[in-house]
Formats: sequence, structure tokens, C-alpha cells
Amino acid sequence: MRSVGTYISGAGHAGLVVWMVVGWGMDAEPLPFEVTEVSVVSGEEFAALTQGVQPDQPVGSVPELEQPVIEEPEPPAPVVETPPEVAPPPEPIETPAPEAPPEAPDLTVPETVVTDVAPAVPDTPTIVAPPPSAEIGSSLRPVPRPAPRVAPEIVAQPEPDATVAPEVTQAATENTEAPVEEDVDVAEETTAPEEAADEIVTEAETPAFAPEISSRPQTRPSRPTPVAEPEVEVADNTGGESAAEPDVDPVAAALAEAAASASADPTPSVQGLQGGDLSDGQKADLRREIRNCWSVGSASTAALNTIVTVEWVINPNGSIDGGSFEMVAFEGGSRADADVAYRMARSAISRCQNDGGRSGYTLPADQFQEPRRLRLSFDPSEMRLR
Amino acid sequence: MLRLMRLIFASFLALAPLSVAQAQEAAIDLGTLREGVIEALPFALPSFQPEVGGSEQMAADISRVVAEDLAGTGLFRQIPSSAFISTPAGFGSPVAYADWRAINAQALVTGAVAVNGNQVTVKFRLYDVFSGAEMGDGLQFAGTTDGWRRMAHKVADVVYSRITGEAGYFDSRVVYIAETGPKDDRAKRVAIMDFDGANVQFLTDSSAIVLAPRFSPTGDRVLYTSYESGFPRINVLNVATVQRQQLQTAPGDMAFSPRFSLDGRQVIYSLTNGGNTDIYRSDLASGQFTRLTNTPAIETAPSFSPDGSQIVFESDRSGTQQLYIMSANGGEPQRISFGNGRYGTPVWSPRGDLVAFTKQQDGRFHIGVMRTDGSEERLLTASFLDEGPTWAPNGRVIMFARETQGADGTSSLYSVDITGRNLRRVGTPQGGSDPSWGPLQP
Repeated sequence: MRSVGTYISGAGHAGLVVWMVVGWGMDAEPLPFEVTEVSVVSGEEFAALTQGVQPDQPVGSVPELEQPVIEEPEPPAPVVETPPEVAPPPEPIETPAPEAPPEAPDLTVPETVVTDVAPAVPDTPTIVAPPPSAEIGSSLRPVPRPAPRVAPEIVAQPEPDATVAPEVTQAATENTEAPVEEDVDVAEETTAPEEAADEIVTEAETPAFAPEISSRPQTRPSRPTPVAEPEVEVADNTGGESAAEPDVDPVAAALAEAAASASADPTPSVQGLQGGDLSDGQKADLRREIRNCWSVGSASTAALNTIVTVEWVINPNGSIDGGSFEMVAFEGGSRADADVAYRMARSAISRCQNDGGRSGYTLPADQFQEPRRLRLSFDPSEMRLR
Repeated sequence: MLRLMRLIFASFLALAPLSVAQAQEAAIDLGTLREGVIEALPFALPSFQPEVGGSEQMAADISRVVAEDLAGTGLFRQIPSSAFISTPAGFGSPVAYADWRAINAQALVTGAVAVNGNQVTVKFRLYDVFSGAEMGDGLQFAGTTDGWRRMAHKVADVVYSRITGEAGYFDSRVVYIAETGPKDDRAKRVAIMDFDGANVQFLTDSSAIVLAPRFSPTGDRVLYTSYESGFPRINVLNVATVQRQQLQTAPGDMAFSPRFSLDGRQVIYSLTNGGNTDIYRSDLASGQFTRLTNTPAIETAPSFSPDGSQIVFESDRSGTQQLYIMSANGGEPQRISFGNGRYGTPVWSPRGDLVAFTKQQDGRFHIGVMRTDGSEERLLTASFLDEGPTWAPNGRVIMFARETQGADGTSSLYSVDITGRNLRRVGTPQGGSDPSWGPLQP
């Protein structure tokens, strides 16, 4: 059963098909377009063009162009110039001979024999351990002539404020019956000393031992480590087996033992540990003194990237123990690079103790009553590109 | 159990004071020193002693060359003999260290020379004055009198190496273009000389324009560009025989800017073909070539890395002349220069860490170095025209050509430390350009 809509749709489609076939209302005329005419060149004309022959042109009269009138003044009469003297013809110059290529130069590399060992003994005495400079008569740095340190007037020896207790040296023998010699400091001095003054300084002179660097405030001495009193617990008499031994607290006993061991060894170590650490200012002073002598101008670029840490012993008078140098660490380079950097650091420390004619570093007396060991790291990386 | 724990705790407490004591025994830490001074190391070199009669002049000459080599680096400063407090009594005599410390000599070189006929023997010792010890063992060189300068250079190389910790460069040679005549009619010849400008000898005549000689890694051959045929072609020259032959390159209009590979068997160069310049590599034995770049840009001045795996070159592919690095087999390059101006003639350092280059900026020319990733660019020189850097065999010094301004300007060779210090003119008898530093001689 077909619906009404089906009939309507069929009629509509049929009408559309009929309209498209018949084309009612459609204009068949093409759209207008512009037409440009072109000139046509004949075959003869093209051949003439390509052959450089002008084609026939219509003969016509060529209008004459009006030429501008130019009023020209009469040219001045030419001045007769004296003809130049003809120079004699130059003598023929000999044509330089063509440069001959250089003969093969003798570029053979001369033979060179390298011996990696020291020369023979007759030619080269072996220098294994050169004797000290003093033994070979070295002329050391001139020492200023000692000034006559005699007081203008004889001054009586002041009375001692206190009697110095004689220092007794006891023989380390078990024979207590043997007489023990006592070293007594003799304080008696009956004659006036030859050198009654430390030094005589004229007006023109300046004290040679004046400190070059202002002292910095010293650090506060560290508090003494409190020593814990050993607490001994009272034995519990009521105990059974333990009653025979006192029940000692192991913690307290260990503390007491440690305190005893720490206080029982008053002998200072080689480095001398009295006086505590240095202040930041004192450390900076020492670094500043060494800095002036630390030259890395001859270091390899690899050594300039190597940080070395050096330890050495310095004496209370500011002098360096030359045999105490030790490179304790390095980083940033190879061992060879570190050796170069270490040598330059060691040289700086050694040279600076006599820098400017002084004899030793300037040290705070309180902290350097005995030889002490110092450590300093040298980092040249920031000077690499300077 | 509780008793055991108390015992362990007690042991810990007992050890604590000991560790504190050990810390107290440690050295006083002064911290870290980061600033010093950059000064030349003062050294003393008493004239080497003649061991046999007739050796006096040779001993004096060798002493002078050794001292000049060391002082010429800028790293050392010679203490004049007038300041000496004492002189060694003989070679090998005990050293009066205090005398040398007193004049602040940090290093002492003593030596002796013996001439027998045409044979000469040189021996020397080096001392570290402030440590009071000898630095290394004594050494002895023997050779002919003709090679006395080489022996002096070798002594200086050893001294340099022992003090600085890096290899020397004194016993080496340089090939360059010797220039004579005015600027508009300048005769150019390939020449070879010692590193200090001595013993100059010509390897070619001036009949044709020659450019850019380059040493082989072993120093036995030289590549150079010649206009003998009217077009630039690459020649290979044997240094010993001065025999030369044209390099078989890829077909093209112009071939130039050659360099040897690390093994000396291959050559990289620029080739212009049809107006396009690219980089090629040719095998010397077989003549086979490989094109390494292929762009419309001008790419030239290739230089191998020390391990031969990479090539640095210049290219204007970005619009301006810049430096690029690519694989030795070609491939996509990576630009490394990004500063203002134009970069050219890159040369890889023998150490492999730096690239030297010529830079043109604001009407001035510079010789500079940068890391291979383009960082830490440093300009070492500045003048009207500086160009063509070449590395010393130890990678510490750069030689280059400097031309003065004007119609009568001349070109000379200069050297400079990679720190930018110690700029010196190399004493060549004629003008010079395009230097190429050879290897350290065996």
C-alpha cells in the first residue's frame, strides 16, 4: 500500500528530471570575453629578423630634428710649446734569468742520540746527596753587622723578684742511693753584661722586627672539657655472689678511664697542641702572606685545574720545617699534574718565610709556643684564565 | 641484655675522647687559597761548561739557545749572570742552594759541552732550588755539530717539561709561506724553519702562487695549494726530497684548504664544482674520494679532531660564516660558534679540548679559542689582520700571521700563549703567512 507521500515524491522527481532535460529558463549564450588582436609575423619577416636584415619599411619623410644652437667662442690660439727633449733611449736591461727552483735543501735531521741516564761517572760526578751549603762555603745572605749593644752607663743588676726554684733533674735509674746531680740555674752575675741593651736603634733606622701585619683578636680559649667524676656505687651488701666484687657501673667506669687516660698524658705531641685553633683572621693573615709567593705562571693548564692540599710544620719563630711538607690530597688532575701543583705550593710556602728579607712568618705567640702542623689547600682554577 | 647494651654504650663513650684527641692532633686547617700571582718562574742558567778545548763557543751558543727557548715561552724569566753569587765549580759539583735562593732562583740548569771533531755532546742537570733537590736525572745528548741547535732545543724541552708538567715544543719545525716584494706583486714560496725562525729553507720557487702549507702528522710531507696550472690544486711535497705531486681529488674547478688525517693516509679539502664549495675526503693511496657535505653554502677549512673522529669546518649555511663540527664521515653538522662577527679557519687543538679560529668583528681580526662545544670563547689577539692559527705540538702556544695596514703593509708570523699572554713576533728573515706547526721531532 502506497502512501500519498510516495506519489508526491515521485511526481516531484519526475518534474525535476523533465526540467533538467528540457532546460527551461537556461541561457545558452556564452559569456562575453575580451579579444586581443596580435600581429602576425610572416615567415619571411621572421627569417629576416633572425638574419639581421631589416624588413622593408614604408618609405616616409623623416622630419629633421632641430639642433640646438650652441654659441661657441672662438678657441684661443694654441700656444706653441717647446717640443720636449727626447731622452736618449735607455740602455737595454738585461732580462733577469728565470729563477731556478731551489735545489733540494739538506733537510735531513741531524742524528741525535738521547741517553736517558746520567753521563758516565768520570764525566759526571754523581750528585746523590749534595752536602749542605755551609760545608761548601756558600756565601749566605749578608747578615747585618751586629750593633754594639752596650749601655752607656753601667746599670746595677736588679734584684730578682722571686727566687727561681732550681730545676731538678732526676736520673732515670732505680739506684736511689746514688747521688743525683742537680742542675741549678745560676742567677748570679757579678759583672755588668757586655750587651746590656737589646739593640741600639739610631734615628735613621727602623725596627727590623716590627710586625708587618696587625694582629687580630684572638679566639676565646676553649672551655676545659669537664671531667666527669667517677661515680662509684656503693656495693650492695645484700647481694649474693656479687657481694664479693663491687658492682661498678660500666658507663661510669668507662668515662672515668677515658678521663684518666686523657689527663694522664701531659706530654704534647710533635705538632704541639697547645693554644687552640687560630681565628679566622689569623688564618687569613697566613693565607695572605703565602698568597704573595704563590706563583702559577709556569704551571701547565692541567696543573691549573688541580687542587692540592698541603701540610707542613711551622716553628714558633715562624720558620718552616723543610722536611715536613706533605701533599695530603689532590683533585681535578692526574698525579703528574698534582705533583706540579704541589711543587709550586711548597715553593711558595718555603720562599715566603724569607719574603721581603724577613726571617719567618708572623705568628701569634700564644698559639705557636711549639711547632705546629698547618694545612692549606691551593686552588688555582680561578687564576686559570687571568 | 640490658647489661650488654650498657657495656656497648660505655665502649662508645670511652672511645669518644680518643677521637677528640686525634682531631686535636690534626693540622690546623688554614682553608683554601684561591688567589696567587702569575709571574714567570725565575731560573738561573750559568753558561754550560766546555769540557774539552775548543768547545767554548759551542757551549756558549747552546746555553744561549736553551735560555732563549725557556724565556721565550713567557713562563720563565732568566736571572742575569751578573746577579749570580757563585757559579758551579764544575758540572756535577755540589750545588750551593743558598746562593741561588738568595737571588730567588727557583730553578737551576747546569750543563757541559764537549766537541770532538764534528761530534758534540751536551749534558745537563736541573735543580729545584727551594726544595734543594735535583728534578729528575741528568741527561746527555750526542749528535753532530750541525745539529747543535736541535740539541739545545731538546735540553730546553726537557727542562720545560719537568717544570711545567707538559710536553715541550722547542724541537719542532714550521712550514709557512715566505713572502717578499710589494703587496700587489708579492712572491710566495713554501718555506720551512725551526719554531723560532732559524734555519729557514725554501721548498718551492716563486713561479706560481702557493698557499696554505700543512704538515703531515709525522712531519715528512707537506700539503699546499698551488696555482701552477692557473687553478688552485693541491700538491703533496716530500720534505726530504722536495719532490712534489698533485693530489688526485674529486673532479672540480678548484681544490684547496687541505689537511692530513691523523694517520696521514687521507686528506680532507674543499672542492669547488659548478660554483658550489663543499668538503671532500680523498685517500692518498687509492685516490678514492668521499663527499662529506652537500649544501649550496660555502664550506671550507676542515680540520680533524686529534682522534680523527670529527671534523671542524667553517660554513655560511646560516647566512654568516660560522664554525661547525660533524662526524669525520659526514652527516649533520652542529654549529658551535654563536658570537657576533664571522668565524673562520678553525683548527682543532692537539689536546682535543679547544678549537682555535680567526674572528672578524667590527673591522678587526682576532685569533681566539673556544671549547669544542662553543663555550668559553676567548679572543687572544686583535689587530688590522690576524689570521690562520696553528697549534704548537703541546697545544699551549698558537702561531698565526699578522698583516699590517697600508699598501706597503707586510705579513709576519706571531705566536701567543693560549692564555693570551706573551705575544711575540717570530723572527723570520722575510715576511711570512699561513704557518703550520709540525710535530715534535724524534
